[in-house]
Amino acid sequence: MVSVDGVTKRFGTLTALEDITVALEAGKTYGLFGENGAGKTTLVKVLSGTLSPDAGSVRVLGTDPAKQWRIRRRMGIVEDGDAYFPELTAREHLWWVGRLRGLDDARCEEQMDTLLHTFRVRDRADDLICSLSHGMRRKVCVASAFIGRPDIILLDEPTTGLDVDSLDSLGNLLASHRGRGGVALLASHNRAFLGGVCSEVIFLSKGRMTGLGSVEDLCDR
Amino acid sequence: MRSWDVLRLKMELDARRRSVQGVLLLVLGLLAVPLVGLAVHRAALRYVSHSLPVPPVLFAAVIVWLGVGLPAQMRLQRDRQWNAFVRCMPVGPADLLAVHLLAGMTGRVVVAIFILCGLAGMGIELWTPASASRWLVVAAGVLWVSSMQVACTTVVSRVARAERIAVAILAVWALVLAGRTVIQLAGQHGESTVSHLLSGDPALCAVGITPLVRALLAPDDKVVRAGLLAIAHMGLVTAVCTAASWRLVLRPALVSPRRPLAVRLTRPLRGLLCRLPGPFGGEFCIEWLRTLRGTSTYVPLYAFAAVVGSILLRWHRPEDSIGAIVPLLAGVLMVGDGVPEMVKARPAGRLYAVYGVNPKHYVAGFLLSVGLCVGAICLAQLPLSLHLYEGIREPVVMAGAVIATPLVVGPYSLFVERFCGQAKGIRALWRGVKASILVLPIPFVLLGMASVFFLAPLLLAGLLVILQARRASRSEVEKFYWRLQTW
Repeated sequence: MVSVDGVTKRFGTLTALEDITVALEAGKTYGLFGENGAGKTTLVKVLSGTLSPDAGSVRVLGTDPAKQWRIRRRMGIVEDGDAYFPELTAREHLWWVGRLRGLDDARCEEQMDTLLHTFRVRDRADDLICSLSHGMRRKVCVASAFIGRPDIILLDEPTTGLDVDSLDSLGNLLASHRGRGGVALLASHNRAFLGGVCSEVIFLSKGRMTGLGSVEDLCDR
Repeated sequence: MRSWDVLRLKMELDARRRSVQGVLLLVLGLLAVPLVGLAVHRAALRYVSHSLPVPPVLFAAVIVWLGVGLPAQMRLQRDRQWNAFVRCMPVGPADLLAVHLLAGMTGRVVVAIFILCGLAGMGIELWTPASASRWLVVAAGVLWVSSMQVACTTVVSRVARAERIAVAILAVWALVLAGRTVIQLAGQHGESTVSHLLSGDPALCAVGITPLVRALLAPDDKVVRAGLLAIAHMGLVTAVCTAASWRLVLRPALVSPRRPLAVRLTRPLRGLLCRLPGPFGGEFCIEWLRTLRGTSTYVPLYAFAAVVGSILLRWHRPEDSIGAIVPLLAGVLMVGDGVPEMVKARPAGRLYAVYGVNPKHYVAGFLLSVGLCVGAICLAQLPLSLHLYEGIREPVVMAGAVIATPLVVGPYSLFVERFCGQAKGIRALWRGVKASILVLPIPFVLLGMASVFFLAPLLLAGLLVILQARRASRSEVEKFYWRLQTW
């Protein structure tokens, strides 16, 4: 479903990713684990098509995401910076995301209500995002990745600011996404969360992939 | 469908980002359009009555047209939240280009209207069947200007060192043109030589300015052919620009590291600001700092253009009041470029958060800083102008009013807000009145600049440059603000 072949990405003299090769299979949730500056965010950006690799190739559903923007209709992406507009309410934000992913109004409303309920944001759904707490804003962003039920979900640090209940909800959403045959990649430092929801974990260190292992390997490291 | 959704989202966001002051200025600006159009028409009428050459004016107007809307484009290219959102969404180049096309469109259309008013004033026929092609050329010109602006800002914001290269190319071109003009003017045929130089400039011809001007000025029997040629040429340039934008617009915009800029404050100025009532001195400092750091650099740019334009017109036509058109035009273009939006109270205004200033004071602080600068320039001209103008009282009173209004209205508005907290109706009414009063000085500021002696702003600017040797760092401003608060 997603294949990364010998990807290298440099920023000036800094090598953020070096010769990364990995394949993500359908129906699995992958964790991306590594220390600060290991290259997790860069890899997520390369997979989402935001950044083009300097060497190697990335194929998402058979296409290059940096060149085929249409593939993002089938991708739910949450990057490290919060991509929301403080001038919109949580409900409006999710509605616009749904519209841009090609949902009609009825399906958009239905999925939006479900996600607002799942992440316990319904009570504040009509408040402007700028008036919400950091955690609530993060919940809105993470919820927006699931609107339109995309095949591929890329979440960069999804657990930051989320309470325990919301982490459980996110785990359940990822499980149902896996059940639909989708693939998800979660970049996080949260070992316990990754251990709970991931099928396999990709280990990164200083831009290099140091292993692809099971959740048990994660506990060992 | 999705393109329309992206446009709707952007329009919704723009509407919500617009402040009351911005809306008021927009309304005032749009109300001023017919008046300025009429003024342009009359100015053009007078211009041609002196048998002066038309092409250089049209060249200048088209170059101004190319510049109007650029600030809005640059702001959109650097809109961090917008960029972060769209790069995660299934948004294609067509959707993004549609959004860019919309940005700054008001200004571009307003200038197109003024160009048509000017053409009518110059006696160029606009109402015969053949001259319909002139209208078509201007309409195509709106798209042509938009595509060039989008292409320029996209390239500059996405390609490393493109900005430096573009500035260098422009500088070289301007120097060569200026050099050729000076050499030619040393000869006998001044004005016609300038027209000839501009018409024969390969750069102006390549980008489509020369064909556009030729089509607008063509005699009636040749206007259709010239119009079609101009439309074809501009269409080609538009296609090239759109192709470049199409390729680049999906790339993430370059992020330039923002370094703190020093605030230029002399010791006497600091002393003066410390004696201002309430937090005004601190607000002035912050607005000054913001002006140096932020996109609001376009405010002094427009003010500078207005002053220089007024000076040139006064120099050339000292007996006319034509100079008043320039600041009015600058005001309308400011509105078109969304400058009023910079005057709004952003909840996340970081500088205000850093320095602990109430965002409610934002407009007062902004007007105070601009008002003080311009008012000081106006007042400083008094000694020079007394010998030259009998009617100097009027601009002096105007400048005084500009300075006094925010000073008086600011504390009074705070008083009303503080003590009428429960009376919602009064507060709402007061807010409307206050916003109107605070916005009103801006046209007076611009008019005031045009009404005074032309050399004084330059002299004062030179004096200020010499005096601004001492710099206060950002941390000093913070301390300074707190000193003011506890004065």
